[in-house]
Order: sequence, then C-alpha cells, then structure tokens
Amino acid sequence: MKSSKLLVALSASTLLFTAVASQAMPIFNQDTGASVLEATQVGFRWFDDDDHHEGRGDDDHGDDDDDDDGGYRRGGTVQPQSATPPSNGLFTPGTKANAQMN
Amino acid sequence: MKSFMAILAVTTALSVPVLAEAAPVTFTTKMRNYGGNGAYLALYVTDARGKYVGSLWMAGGRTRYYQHLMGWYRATGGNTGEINGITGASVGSGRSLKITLDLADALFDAGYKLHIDAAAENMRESPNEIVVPLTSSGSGKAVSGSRYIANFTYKR
Repeated sequence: MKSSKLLVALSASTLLFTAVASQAMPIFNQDTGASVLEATQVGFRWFDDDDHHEGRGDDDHGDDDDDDDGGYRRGGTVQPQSATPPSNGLFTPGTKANAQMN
Repeated sequence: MKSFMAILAVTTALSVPVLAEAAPVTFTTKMRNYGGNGAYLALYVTDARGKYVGSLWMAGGRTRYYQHLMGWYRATGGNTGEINGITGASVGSGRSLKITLDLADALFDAGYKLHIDAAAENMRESPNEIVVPLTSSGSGKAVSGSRYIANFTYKR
C-alpha cells in the first residue's frame, strides 16, 4: 500500500516535471534556433579551426589571438614592404620584392 | 692594374647577362568594394602544362587561413617556405595592392600563367579568380576578376 502511494507520487511528479519541461523547451529552442540561423546565414565559418593553434597546442602563444595582419584595418596607405623572395627560379637572385597598398 | 681590369671584365661579363634576363614587373590588383574583411590573395605561376612553378606573393599573414586559397594550397600543401619573404598584409575591400618584383624574362611568352586565388572571412572562396598568361602583349592590359578583384594588370 505504501509502495503504491509512493509510485503514484513519483508518477505525478514525473508528469509535473514533463509538463514544466515542455513549457520551458520553446525558450531553450529560441536560443538554439538563433545559433542555427546565424550559422546558416554565415554559410560556413572561414576560421572553423580557431581552437587549433599552429604547432603550439592550446597555450595561446600562437598567432590566433589577433587576426589583424597589419593591413587594411589601419586606414591610409600601408607602408611599402620590401623583402627577399625565395629561390624558386622566378625571381632574380639578390633582388627584393616590394609591395605597397593604397 | 691588369688584374683589376681583368676582374672588372669578368664581373661585367657575369652581371650583364643577368641584367639582360630580368626586369622589374609590377602587378597591380584592385579590389572590389565587396564589403567584407580583408581578402587573402595568393599569386602564383604555373607552367604550360598547368604544373605549379612557384609563388610570387601572398597577401595575408595567418597561415591557418591559407587552406582557403584552394588552388595555391593544393599545389603547395600549404608550405610556407614557398612564400618566405613574399608575404604581406591582406588586402581590404576597395583597396589596391601593387607589387614590384624582378622576374626572369624567361617567364614571359613561354606558356606560363599567373594565378590569383582569393578568399575573405565568412565569404566564399575564389580559387583562380584571375588566370592570365604571362606575355609581352598582355603587359598593361587589365583583366577583370569574378568576385573580389575588380581588375588586375601586370606591367613590364
């Protein structure tokens, strides 16, 4: 007798919990829906592997923290860059490449 | 004095052919106002059979994004040794990148093609956005891009 009362109480609380959870679900869904929508609008994340640090594990010492590569964000004319190209047979040995952005 | 003249003659003889076989070439890439973040560009050369020969420039310094420059990445496996010393900043929407390189004359009129792969954050990749034969007659002629690049010219 005692156990059947316990069973009824357990069933009732389960039903109650289910009812509350089903009411809460749409709110949860809205959040999830926003994420899905965002992902869909983006199409694909260009930098999906942001958590992968190049050869350095996850120690945050890589170049992943700052995506600014010194170019377009700074406005105005970017300083000319002069550097020695690789020996791939395309470049005259000993010459320098020169780049300028406007 | 005689030995000095001999050295001068030898160095002149060695340097003149090099000068005769190379010339500065200016590559100008004008970007469209595509409205996104700075674009990564890979400029590289293939031979007459379409085989990768070498890279001329990489605009964009974050190696993990190179995979989105699909043609270049496929050809090089993302080997950054290919672009040591020829890597600069990414190119913003509406901006232009002007690169001057001393290139071997043998690259021109010999079936070589210049390729430009482009990609920008959260936007579609654009491999081979520009593919242009390196010829004397093509010098100074603008070529239109399909997505990020408004036009491209090279000038010898």
